[in-house]
Amino acid sequence: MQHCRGLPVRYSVGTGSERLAKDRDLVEGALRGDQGAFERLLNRYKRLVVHIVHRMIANESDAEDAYQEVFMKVYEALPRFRLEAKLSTWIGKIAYNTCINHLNKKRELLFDDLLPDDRPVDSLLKNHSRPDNQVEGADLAKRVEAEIKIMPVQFRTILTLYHLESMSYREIGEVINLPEGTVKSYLFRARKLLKHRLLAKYGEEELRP
Amino acid sequence: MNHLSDEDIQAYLEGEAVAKKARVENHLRECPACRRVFEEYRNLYDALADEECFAPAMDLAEQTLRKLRIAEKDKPLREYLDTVVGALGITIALAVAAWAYVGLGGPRPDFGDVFNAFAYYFSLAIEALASLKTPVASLRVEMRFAVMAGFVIYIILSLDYLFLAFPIRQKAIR
Repeated sequence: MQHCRGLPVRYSVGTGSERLAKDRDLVEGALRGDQGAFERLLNRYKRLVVHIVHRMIANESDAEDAYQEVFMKVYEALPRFRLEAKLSTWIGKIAYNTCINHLNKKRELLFDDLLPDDRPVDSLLKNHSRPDNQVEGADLAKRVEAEIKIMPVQFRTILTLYHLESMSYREIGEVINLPEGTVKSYLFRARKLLKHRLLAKYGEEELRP
Repeated sequence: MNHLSDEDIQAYLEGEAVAKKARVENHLRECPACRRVFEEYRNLYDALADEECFAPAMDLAEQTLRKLRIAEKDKPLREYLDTVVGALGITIALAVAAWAYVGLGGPRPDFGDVFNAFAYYFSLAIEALASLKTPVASLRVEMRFAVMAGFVIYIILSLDYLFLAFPIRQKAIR
């Protein structure tokens, strides 16, 4: 039996240390006043920020504002970045907190968003299921995307960082300020919830090969 | 036969169920119901890693950089003004404190004490300023005035380093 082909490839030690060295060069360059260094840093991490922001903030124009705000904050805070830390988790944390503040300001943050408690997945299914967001005629990825957007914020972020950014449980924990074990448990619960909802909404054929 | 739990199947897909690997694989071979759940999860994993749904505006990075450059352009003058205002504020505050200290009859300085030393120099400075009003031109007053001027310059330079030179060193974009 083969492992899943959609499973993200974790960074190997070699790639990780090269990445750290490259990050250090970019940060030091930017702090020295190298004009292109911050631009390269932004281009390197814009994908991460886009993923977080677009999964957390539904409104397109709000998401764009948040994206720019994140990089303004990164720029301002760069002198306080500790070089031994990982730039991806540091920027991820800034992006996550910026989005949480934004949702708070717009009063879009629900109690369940930050406290996906230990209730069984079935009860979350009842509480959050919105039958009105069915995506007709789309492929599975689009339906999954639509379904993720109505999940609690922490579930959305964990799914994004794990499956699209290949972050480890520990790194995700640093970004959203949760213990590693909680991240893992939420991730399992989020996938279970997602699968149950897709099956309930679109029927069993949807998830068949 | 006990079916596999969702957690078992996910852990297997993650490559985490090392100890249970053989049991999970045997079960999946024999149990069509669990195999179906396994396939559902596998398809879900594929869909979760699909990035095609993300199509953010391509010029966002460029827009952000432009915004940063505009913000940076306005910065030096603002920083300079902040420095001057800060330096003046702190100088005045220290002078007033020293004047109050001496005025309230605090003891004359013991140079082992930094605060006393500051207070002493500032009391000299204030006396010098006061004596300038009544034109008593003596060498001693000029010396006192020089000490005061030296202190003011020293404070301005320190603040300049803290608030202006330090951030400039860390400037990333001009």
